[in-house]
Amino acid sequence: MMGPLGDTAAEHATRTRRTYMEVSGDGRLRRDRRGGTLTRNGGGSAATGAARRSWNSIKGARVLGAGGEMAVSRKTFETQVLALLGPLQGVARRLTGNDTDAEDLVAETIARAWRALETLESEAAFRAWLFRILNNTFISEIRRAAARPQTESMHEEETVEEEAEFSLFEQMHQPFLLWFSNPEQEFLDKLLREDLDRALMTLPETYRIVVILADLEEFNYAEIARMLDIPIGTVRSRLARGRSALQKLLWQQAQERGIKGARPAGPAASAGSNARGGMQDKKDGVS
Amino acid sequence: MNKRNIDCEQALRQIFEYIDHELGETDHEAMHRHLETCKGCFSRMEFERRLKEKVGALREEKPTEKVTERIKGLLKGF
Repeated sequence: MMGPLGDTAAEHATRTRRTYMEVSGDGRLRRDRRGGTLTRNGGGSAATGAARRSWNSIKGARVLGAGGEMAVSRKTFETQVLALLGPLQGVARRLTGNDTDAEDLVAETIARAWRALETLESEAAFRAWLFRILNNTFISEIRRAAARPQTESMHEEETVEEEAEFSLFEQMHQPFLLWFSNPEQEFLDKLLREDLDRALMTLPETYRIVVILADLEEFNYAEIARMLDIPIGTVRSRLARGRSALQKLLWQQAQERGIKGARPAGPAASAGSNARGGMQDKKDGVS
Repeated sequence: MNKRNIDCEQALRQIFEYIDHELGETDHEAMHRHLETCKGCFSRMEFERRLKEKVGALREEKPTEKVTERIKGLLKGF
């Protein structure tokens, strides 16, 4: 079920909207993400992506009219919905923060999706389409019901901006800290699922949704931009800030829990905030 | 092709886009070349990539029985 946007999916998704198409042509490469970024996705795959984009732009100009037909049958709709139910419920839970609202959100999303079936461009676009409806439903229904101020996300974005530079890696390579082994390996090895989940749920909503869509659901930047109705540059910056804020939360949690190696070695540890300069020295010293 | 080289500062700025496979061909290759020769940036990239994998592992695969029953009922009514 992972990565349903395969080859055909990426091609189908390009038929009606060129801006979406240009990045989704690379979507298939992204599905190969587990491991080996450096070695497996070299220039060859990027070149293939470019070639495919070029072909798709020709095809995209030609294949347009679906003639008002539904992109999928009722049976396919049901099958797809049931296949995506786990991820839908998971994202809904992380958006709403509780199981009851999450269930309502999933049900409302599916009801809306059924009513809006004519807006689905192709079967291949089903997953992105459904998650877009999920997000829109969350914004319009749940948030309104909770009477949360619409401007909150803007403020969140501003306040996190100054923390955008936080990096766990750099934090762990401060020359003021003592390590017994490779610090980032040790940190990742000891990182618990619950810690990650808690940190993710603590993220401001604006960043949380982008991190969820990118890292859990593996949508590409263009797909996320389209889902959230924001520019692709905003996706990029929110993702960077979201990941940075997540790392800061993980760091704080690690210190609270006293994970070995995450504690400052002495009083001097708090004095260093910019570790970038010391990274190389420390790295060489550790390995 | 333009064989542009990048320094560590540029590489660090592009790390997320690299691990997300969002760089264009030229930038991706420049990054690739830099990472092949720079141990510090490679370690950083590997850390970010592994952390992304850990976050990705939070993805829910299976719905609860309760929600499955509810949605099946909903679908019947369409």
